[in-house]
Amino acid sequence: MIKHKLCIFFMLPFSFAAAQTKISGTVTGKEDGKSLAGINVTVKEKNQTGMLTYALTDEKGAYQLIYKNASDSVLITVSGFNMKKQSETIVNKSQILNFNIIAQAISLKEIKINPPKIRQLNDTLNYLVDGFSDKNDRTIGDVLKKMPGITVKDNGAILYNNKPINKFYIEDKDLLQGRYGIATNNIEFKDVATVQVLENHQPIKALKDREFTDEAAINLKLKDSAKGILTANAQLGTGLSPALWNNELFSMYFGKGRQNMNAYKGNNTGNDATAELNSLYSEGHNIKQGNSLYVQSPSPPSINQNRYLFNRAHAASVNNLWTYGKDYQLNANINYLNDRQEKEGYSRSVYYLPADSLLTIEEKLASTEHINLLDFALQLNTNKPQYYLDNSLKFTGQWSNEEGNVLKSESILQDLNAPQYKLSNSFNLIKNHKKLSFKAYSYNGYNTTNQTLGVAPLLYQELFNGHTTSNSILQSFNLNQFSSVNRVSFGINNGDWKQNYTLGAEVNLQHLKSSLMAKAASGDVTSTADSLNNDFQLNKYEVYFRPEYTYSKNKYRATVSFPVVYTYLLKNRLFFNPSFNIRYQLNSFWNLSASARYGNEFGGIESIYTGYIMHSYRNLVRNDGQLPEQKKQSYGIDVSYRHPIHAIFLNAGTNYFKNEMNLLYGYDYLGILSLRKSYNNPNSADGYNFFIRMSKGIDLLSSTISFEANYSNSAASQISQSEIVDFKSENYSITPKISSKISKWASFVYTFTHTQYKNKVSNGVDNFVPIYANKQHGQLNIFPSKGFIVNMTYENYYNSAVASGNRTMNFADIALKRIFKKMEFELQYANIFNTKQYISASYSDISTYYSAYNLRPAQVLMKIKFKIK
Amino acid sequence: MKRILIIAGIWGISISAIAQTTGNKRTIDNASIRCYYLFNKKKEATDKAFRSDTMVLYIGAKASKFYDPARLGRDSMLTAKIKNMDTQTIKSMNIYKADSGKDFSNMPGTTSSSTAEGESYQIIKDKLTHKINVLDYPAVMGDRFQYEDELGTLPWKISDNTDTIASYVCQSATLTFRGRDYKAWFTTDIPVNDGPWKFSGLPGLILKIEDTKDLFSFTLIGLEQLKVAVPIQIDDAKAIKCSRADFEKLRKKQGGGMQINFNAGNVIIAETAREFEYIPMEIE
Repeated sequence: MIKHKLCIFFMLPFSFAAAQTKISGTVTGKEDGKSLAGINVTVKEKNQTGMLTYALTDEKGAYQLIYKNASDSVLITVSGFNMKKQSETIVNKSQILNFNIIAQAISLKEIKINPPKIRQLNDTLNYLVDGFSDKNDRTIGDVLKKMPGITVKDNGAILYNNKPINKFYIEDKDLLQGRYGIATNNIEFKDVATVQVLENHQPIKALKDREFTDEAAINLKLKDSAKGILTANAQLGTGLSPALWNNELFSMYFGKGRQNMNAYKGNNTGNDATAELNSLYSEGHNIKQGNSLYVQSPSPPSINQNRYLFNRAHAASVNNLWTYGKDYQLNANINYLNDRQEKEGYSRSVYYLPADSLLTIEEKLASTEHINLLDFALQLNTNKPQYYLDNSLKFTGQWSNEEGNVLKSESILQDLNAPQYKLSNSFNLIKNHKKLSFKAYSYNGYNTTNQTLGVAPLLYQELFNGHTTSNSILQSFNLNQFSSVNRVSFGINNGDWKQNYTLGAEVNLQHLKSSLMAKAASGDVTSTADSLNNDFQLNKYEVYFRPEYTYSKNKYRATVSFPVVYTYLLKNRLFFNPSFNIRYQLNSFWNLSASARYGNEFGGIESIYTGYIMHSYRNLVRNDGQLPEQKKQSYGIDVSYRHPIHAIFLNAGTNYFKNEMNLLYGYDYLGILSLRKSYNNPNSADGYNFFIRMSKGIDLLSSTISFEANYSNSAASQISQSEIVDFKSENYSITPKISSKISKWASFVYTFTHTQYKNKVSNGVDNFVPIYANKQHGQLNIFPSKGFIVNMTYENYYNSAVASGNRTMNFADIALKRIFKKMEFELQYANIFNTKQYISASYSDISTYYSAYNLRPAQVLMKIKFKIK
Repeated sequence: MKRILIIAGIWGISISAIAQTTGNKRTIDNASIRCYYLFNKKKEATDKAFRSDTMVLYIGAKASKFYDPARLGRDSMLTAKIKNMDTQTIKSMNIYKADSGKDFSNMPGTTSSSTAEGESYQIIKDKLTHKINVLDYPAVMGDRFQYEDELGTLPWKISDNTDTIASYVCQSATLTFRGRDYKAWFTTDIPVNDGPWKFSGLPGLILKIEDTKDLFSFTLIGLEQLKVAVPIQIDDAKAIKCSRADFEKLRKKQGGGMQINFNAGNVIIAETAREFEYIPMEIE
């Protein structure tokens, strides 16, 4: 800069002394005589490096140089892209000067580029933890939050560029198998040296450069001082009322060849103790597991779980990892949960019966459930560029029992014992050979459950003729299931056309044994008639071949798939389940798409048993032994419009479905007892819906307003008291919403939802009064200073079907959080209005359901987290 | 040799990736010179650049193109991946803007991309008409935009200062452009009136340019003469034409990232807020 000023300083006297010189002219090409544009014309004093001035020729090849200089002669240079440089020394006076230049390939001194930091394509970003941490941080999760592109959720889930990471490594090893919330919320940042972000991380080396992933992985590099030693920290939490506790304990060890991490969480504050024990990776194949027998209890409200969960939970997790050689690693994870949950509430179900009669069942319900859950996984993994093998063995055991009480004129006691065991193995192999890639997947699982439900007193005398000495009912239910899924696939990509072929085989074997018995006070069980027992097997074998073709060109994209499925289930069947989809992009703003699909489905073992099963004290089910079959077809059209410059987004569409079924279900009501039966009576259900969603950004208020509306209409039939009842249901909802970032220290969101449910029985008097429900949710977040956060939430619910008492419910919460170097304090005040019940009402089929669920009272909780070792 | 291979590799990837997403590219010129510039961005009152990217300038006789091959390569790969998703299962599609505060990151099946890394623009200078065409996008999965920027003759002030940059003798020049003051170093040994970004109009290639606040700098780090001409291609068939002001407005509010969620056939596309504050080079 100084040099620059000095130069000007020295130049000035000359400039003033000199007269202005103007040189102009044109530049043409020698070969064709055409004028040349964009040619540089510079003027220099002789023997100087710096130029006095310069000009570029215009479209006509004209240039003009105006400068002041006192020297006698100057050097004019004409140069251009791929033109031979031409210089001429002229007398320093105003004149016209034309040039005729010749084309000549340019020859440049090349500069070899040093490999630049093009880290984006395929590399690792390293963040030094010390560069991001400050005194308000404690855990690595706190520091991760501040690293560019990284977000950490409350449950510990990490997002890189707002997308969940696909792997979480510690010292390059995946110890926690997705339960890395334990790590982010517990490892202290002082023990970590570097956080590495592995962008576009393909965890399977054999798929690298074959299958693109845009997901990232995180690797924590620990400090040497944290390796090979045991570290531990804890949380204590207490509050009122009643007496509350919320405690945690955590330890870790990272050595060469072995890693270990353990955690304990326990609370009675309504928090889900298993939150950190759940895998944050997306899960693979699984057998669905649910209880077939149940204790009658009110259905849980559709509000935040910690408002209504009365728990007493202890959860523990032990994780170990060993490495063998360079390529093999073995993982063992054990999780255990012990929980006691209490539920209390009131429900009223109203059933429409033919001849315009109504059946009303009112129940005051209370239940206590004890849950013991053990989860064990062993995984062997080798990950090489040409070869990937992963074998996971998993065992889950759940021992739960529940006692329930229905308070009516006489109370009905229920006692459920529902142990379940599941053992599964999944195998995944990928082998590369030159340009070919072969993939095989196999899953085998075995699931067994042996449930019993006891109900006292003996309610249905007519089922148990003559067992007058018995005073209770006992239902046993035993289901064994084996399931195997195997497939091989490969694809061919040929420009506009894509082909994909999958060959698969699946086996599902089920064996059901159940019996409904009368039980005497002495404990003697009386065996009963065949109509109350089941003992049979249902096996399903399936082989399928699924070709799939995609054509995409310009504005169109179409996909067609026509799997051929051969199924053996009671008898042989061959199915063809085609589907079709097309998208057309009208222009940058409008998009149209349409789809159609057809498919065949079957019911499972739960829909074909012929002996009665008492699922709950007032729900007895039997089937006529026919396999339910459904033929489903659906069609949809969707239109979307968006104008990004005006920040308008709009999406609207409609769908239609029609299902044809071979069986019709019927319910008979004997007092409070409902009996479900199936009838061989082909029938159909159909429906349609419309939806629209739009949003508009308002820059002035840095807010967005959005609006959603849905309407659906469906019709179906069932049999009630031996008469076919056709019913229609109609729902609609509208949801306006506004969200605004008020300033750097505050933001808020407000949502309003209005819903209406309407049911109608076609051949009867309209017994259903429409139900209206409103929901309002507002949240305000304030950040007064660094490390200090205040959250305030307000919710309001209204339901028109609440017959007695208050139709509105209000909730408010406030939380303050302060983070210090070695400790973290959090003060929560939940359910400030001390709202005691959540009341809801809705329609299903031909019944109305109304329930009141008891909530947790107002509570204050104080939590402290600190380091032990 | 190894270095050349690395560059060739990178180049190959980005070209093929771009080719996947474009159907209507047109060749506007053939380049005979390729320049690499290191683009450093700094925040005020900091010493170290928070972001460094390698930019490429292709120079032809009639036109030149300046862009970030790594960024465009990455984005095209992601776009291609999303475009090649199984549309058979798509039932509905919803789009949410950044400040709608939608966050689907916890939902299974969500993928996303950041726009905070690298530069998304392609700056095409037409030497005959002196027009600049900018192709850019505020979000990976969003629309492509195009605006024309007529700069006229840039009011460069030549100074007598000389220096050697990348072994070329350079002369300096200063320029006030859209709210920022720049100092450039150009060499008449490369008689090409071009330079990084929107800069041109000096009687030689600009090898280095930085603003006086030291927030932005472009420095030549590589120069190659191409034995086989490389076509300069642009894909603007589907781009929405707008003004520079319109585009800057979009960039300021939308430049965060992108989340795409597939769940039971329902596709949700949501933009997310930006982590870094966007510092525009053009403040007027």
